[in-house]
Amino acid sequence: MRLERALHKHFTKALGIGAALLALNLIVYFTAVSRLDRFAKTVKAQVADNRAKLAALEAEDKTATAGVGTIKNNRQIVDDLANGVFLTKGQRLVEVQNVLLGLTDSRRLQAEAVSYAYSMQPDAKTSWGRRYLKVDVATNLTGSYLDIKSFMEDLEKNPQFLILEAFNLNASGQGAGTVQGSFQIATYFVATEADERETAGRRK
Amino acid sequence: MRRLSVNLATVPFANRALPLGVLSAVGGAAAILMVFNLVSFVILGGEYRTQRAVLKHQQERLANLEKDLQQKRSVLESASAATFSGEALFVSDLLAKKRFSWVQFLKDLEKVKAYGTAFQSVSPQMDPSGVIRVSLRGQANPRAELMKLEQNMFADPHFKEVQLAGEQRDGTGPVVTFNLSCVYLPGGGADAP
Repeated sequence: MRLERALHKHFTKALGIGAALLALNLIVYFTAVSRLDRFAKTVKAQVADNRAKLAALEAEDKTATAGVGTIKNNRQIVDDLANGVFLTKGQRLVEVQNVLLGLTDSRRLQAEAVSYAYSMQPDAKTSWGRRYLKVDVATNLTGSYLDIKSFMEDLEKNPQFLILEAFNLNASGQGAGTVQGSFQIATYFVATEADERETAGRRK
Repeated sequence: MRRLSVNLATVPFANRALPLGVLSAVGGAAAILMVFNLVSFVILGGEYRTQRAVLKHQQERLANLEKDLQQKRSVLESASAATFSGEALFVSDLLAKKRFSWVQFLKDLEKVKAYGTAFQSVSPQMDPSGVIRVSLRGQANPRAELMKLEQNMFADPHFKEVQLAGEQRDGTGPVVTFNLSCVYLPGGGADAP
């Protein structure tokens, strides 16, 4: 009974409050919640998009890092070789000649003639940080096969960076077991400006 | 006929089902929507904040990566890198030449040499592509030893394209002079210079 009276008395007011609350919630939904939902979706799409971009960039970065690392390592190796092994002609050529003389003399190999040829690597059209002077040493040696082979072995192992590029062995007329060998040995130096002038002058 | 309006209830508004229903519907809808809004706001807000934080982190990472990559690209594309790669290739070629051993070639040749054969001339030639062609001249005593040499070379993986170019008997004796050519494969073909 009391409820009915209250209902009768406050129906309009209660309905108004309810309707107002409903309207307020609808406004909140359309102005805040649904917009927040849209923003969240947009941000989520951006995150997914960025994830794909990041994956692609990270893959590219990995390749680039490897490339840069290789260049750095190679540069280190090349610099170490240039400054520690190849050196300049003035620093090492006499040493090379002494090594070759020592290798032949220690085995009593007869060296008929030794000739030297100089060339620049690379050619003038290619621009590297540094150029190299290639010295080709051609020599004919006569001795026993075992001594010739031992000469070749020590030549290949020598720390003077001597490259045995080509050789020929022929039976010598000097007796059984005697071999005559012709050898093309190459070594490289870091070219100096003087080397460049000299080889250019020689070419003219 | 006149219509008579009579309220039989002892109190007014006795038919309360309709207004109560209306009030409940409106109130219920408002309450449900409010709960929905609150829950959505909390969940979506949390998600939004998380995603924003992730996005911010991603954007920083992207910017750093872009900057980093730009530097690396410029290093890779720089003229010095291009010229250096030529030099590196040249030096690596020299190192490969240095690693190659002609002594090993002689040792491999000794392995296939038949007992009754003697080489008078050994001429290996490396062509620009790195293939090593070998010309051999020698003597075999008797001729069967030459066949043995050939057979040994066929069986050895270090030698291929073995071709006997010619053989000649010296007078009436058993000695045969021969010319033979082949291709030498360092390391049995595994590590060519």
